[in-house]
Amino acid sequence: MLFTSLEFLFMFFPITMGINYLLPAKARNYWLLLTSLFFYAWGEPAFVVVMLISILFNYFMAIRVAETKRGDRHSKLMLAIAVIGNLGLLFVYKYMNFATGTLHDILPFTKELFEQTKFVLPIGISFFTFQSMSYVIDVYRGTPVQKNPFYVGLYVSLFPQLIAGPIVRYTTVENEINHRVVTMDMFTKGMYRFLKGFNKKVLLANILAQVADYAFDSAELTVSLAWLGIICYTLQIFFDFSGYSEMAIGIGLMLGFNFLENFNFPYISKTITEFWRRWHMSLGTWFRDYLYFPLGGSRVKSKWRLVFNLAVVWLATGIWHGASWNFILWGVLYGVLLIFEKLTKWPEKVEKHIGIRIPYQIFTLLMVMLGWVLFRAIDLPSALNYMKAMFGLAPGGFINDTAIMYIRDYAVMVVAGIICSTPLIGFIAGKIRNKIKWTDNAFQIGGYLVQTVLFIISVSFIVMNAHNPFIYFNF
Amino acid sequence: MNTKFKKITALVFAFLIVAFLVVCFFLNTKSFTVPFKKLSNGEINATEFIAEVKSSYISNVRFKEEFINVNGFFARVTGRNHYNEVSRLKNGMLTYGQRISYDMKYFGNGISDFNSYLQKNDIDYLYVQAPIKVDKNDTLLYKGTVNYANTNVNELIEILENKKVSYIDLRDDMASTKEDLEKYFYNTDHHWTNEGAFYSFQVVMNYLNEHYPDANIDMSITNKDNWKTTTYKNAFLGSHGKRVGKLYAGVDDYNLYTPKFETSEISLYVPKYKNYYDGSFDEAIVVRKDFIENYDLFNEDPYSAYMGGGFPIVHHRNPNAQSDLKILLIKDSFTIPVQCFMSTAFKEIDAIDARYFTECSIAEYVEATKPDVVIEFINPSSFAHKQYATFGIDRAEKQGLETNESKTEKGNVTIKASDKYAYYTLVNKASFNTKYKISFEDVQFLAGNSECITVALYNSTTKQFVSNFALDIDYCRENGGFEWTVVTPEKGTDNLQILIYAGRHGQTVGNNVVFKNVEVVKYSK
Repeated sequence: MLFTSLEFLFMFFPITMGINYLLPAKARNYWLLLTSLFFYAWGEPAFVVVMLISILFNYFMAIRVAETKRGDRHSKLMLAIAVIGNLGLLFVYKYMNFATGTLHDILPFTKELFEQTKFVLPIGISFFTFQSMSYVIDVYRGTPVQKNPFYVGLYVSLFPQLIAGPIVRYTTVENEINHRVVTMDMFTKGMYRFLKGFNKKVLLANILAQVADYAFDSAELTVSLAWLGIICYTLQIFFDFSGYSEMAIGIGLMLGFNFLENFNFPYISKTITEFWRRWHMSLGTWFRDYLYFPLGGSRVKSKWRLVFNLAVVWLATGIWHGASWNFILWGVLYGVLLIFEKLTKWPEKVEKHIGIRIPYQIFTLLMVMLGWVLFRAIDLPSALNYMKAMFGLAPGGFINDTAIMYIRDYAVMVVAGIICSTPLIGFIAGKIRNKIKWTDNAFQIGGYLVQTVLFIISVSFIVMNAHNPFIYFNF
Repeated sequence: MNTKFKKITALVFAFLIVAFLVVCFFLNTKSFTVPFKKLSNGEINATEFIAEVKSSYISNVRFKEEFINVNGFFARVTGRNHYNEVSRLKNGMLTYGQRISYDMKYFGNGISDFNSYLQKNDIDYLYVQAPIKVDKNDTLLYKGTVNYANTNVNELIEILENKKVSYIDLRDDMASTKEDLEKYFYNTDHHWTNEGAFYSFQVVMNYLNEHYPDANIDMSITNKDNWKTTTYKNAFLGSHGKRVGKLYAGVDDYNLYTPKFETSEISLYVPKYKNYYDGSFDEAIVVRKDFIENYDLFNEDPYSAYMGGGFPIVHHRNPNAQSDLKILLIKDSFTIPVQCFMSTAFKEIDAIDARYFTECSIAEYVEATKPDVVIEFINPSSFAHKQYATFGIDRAEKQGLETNESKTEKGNVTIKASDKYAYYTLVNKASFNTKYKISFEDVQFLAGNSECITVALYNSTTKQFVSNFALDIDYCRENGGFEWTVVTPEKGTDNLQILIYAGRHGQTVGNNVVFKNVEVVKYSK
């Protein structure tokens, strides 16, 4: 089920939240578990079984790990089984098709031995396997194990963050699972965050996606449309992902959970290193804590070891995002850039010298955007063609009527998107609020009013996406 | 104080949103409860339940129209000139893109061949090009709006010129400038206004009067002073407007044209729904005035006030009209008001919408009905439908090559009154790919009454009607008798029957009828 669907807004959300507040505290976890499973089953009726198996597997493995002594062979074995089990599940559903297809391409004789698999990807599997795995690893590291399987199930499957993150650590919600309070302040803040995320997703991401989709599907791209397309995609992916995260955080607050932030205006980053501290923070910290640090992190004696550690992490990050060479190359791109920054200590230099800061900031944004070309294109040749078009190396020319049409039609939304992707509005509002005291209340009311009006408009888009009367109406 | 104020505003905000969601929940419960009931009863499985809930929310969401208006407003404010498959022209009017450059050689050659076929049969042909809501030189299109309509028309006109087919290009007078479009087209619909339709009516009538001076056409009917205009303000949200809401481009006025001169005994028959209307122009033609007067902008279509809309074939009869010129119109929706205006001038007009007419080919219909003139009157969007250039000439010409003729004289045929359907089977096990001519001298009602009788081709294997046609009794009596040609499908194995009904099909209960001197002539190859 999508947050931006009518059945979620008008059915699931009111019922779930309403009954949640009416139930006694002890019953709420069970209610949320039930509704979360229903939420997942709505889009994936068959795969809810896969998720339940994953939950039970990790529940039992965590108990086994907790029963052993940390560091001993048995404990490590249990942990290894848990990690292999989770990664195995992920590999089968997410990577098996790619692996068998690649083997066929590289070693054609394998076509005789086996067919390419056709597994269907369960939605959110990357998120809930990583979340489950982190739970077992945290138990190995000393976090008290959760004896109630329903509570483990709730942690893994809680619907706000189930299908699109943020990846929540068990320790973040451990206390709240056992005991949480929803204050009116939390509720209103949560509602505000939910609306903000909803509006970002529907009014910015979905609209800008129309330009990006056209550009990336276009057979003959002009330079201007290529740039417009990638700018729109850059904004689209940010608002889509951060919008969903914000909705998840908002719903979490309304339920009494404090999820951590997942995005922090990543496009104002001055370096690639900074970008990954602002973009999809829950994933970055996951790989840092569960892969990079165990490999030694940056506290290694040899530079080559550092390079190796970074390469492994970024290869894994690329692979995590998707089973195709585009994503692997995308991960490698960031690996190379981060290795460069780590070895040259470029981020520190950028901080110190303003003459370097702006050009490098532009370079950072450019690299991010080129990375998004890899991310969005259907395959490597398409990505390459797109990049060629961006730099005038394709036959489309600089501009044509179609590009002018899209620029004219979407200029307002692109400008709005660029502004909203920065902390500019908050910065200006903060300055005014500090200088003129009475504006504090005005901004408060204004903020609520704006998000409410935008929410109504956003709902109209959900309705409109289903409103397509036959254009000639009876004729 | 500040903290208290913040708390209060936060509470009010949260309350408003919760209230909105709760109200929406209660207003839309049926979208969930109805499929849930089906799931509980085992009528559907879980996957079907999910699909049904989703589609139910989509189709039945409350306040949908208000949301559409809000959405259109947002699109307008954010500068969208192309939205939900609707394009804005530079003068603010709405149109659609025509992204396909059609094969106009196919159209041109098809029309030319049809013209030749008609000439061989001493029937005249006229092609009338209705304009589209874009000026002839495409100057009102924003850059990037793809619309090949004018390009397609230019190509077609060139072919018709070369092939010496008579045509009228209405674009010159009706879509050359911005002012033309604003005068003759609705803002929010793809159709022209009744002003535009009336202008084209005048042009066509002038042409017919010029080319048929002996047809006794009453040209006073084309004088606008002889027509009353009733304006309904803000009554029409057209096809484009329904997609983008009324806040995107406004709402149109609707001007209903009705004759000031007296009209009576006009009839309109719509075979598809067996609807028959007769009386004055208002009674027989303006049959869906409720479409205008209800002001239900999103659900009604005032353009369909005349005749109730478009149908595969309609028959206009007006025994009091001055002219005997028998007209066959091959048309699309643009012609609807035009044919209605024309029905005040001519005794007999049949109007076929080639997209939906499947009884027989158009050429076969021409064979059967022998009009004096065939007018093909379409707008450029109809180039998407090859039926407007495919007339089934081969088939009709094959029919004309029949060599064997066998006549069956049935004498007087009596149909007794029935409490169900009163009919008689004239031909049982009719042959495929064969023409049958049914004729009789007169009809007498011994009980009951009807203004028409029906001849039908019926598939008794599938229990479906292949075609049926109502013969207007008064008209036939005044015009030499009752005659109708039935052409059976090319091939098949089902049992076909030719039936004659004691009145209008479906309304024969209690009718006791005698058909005098019935003849059936079978033409086979």
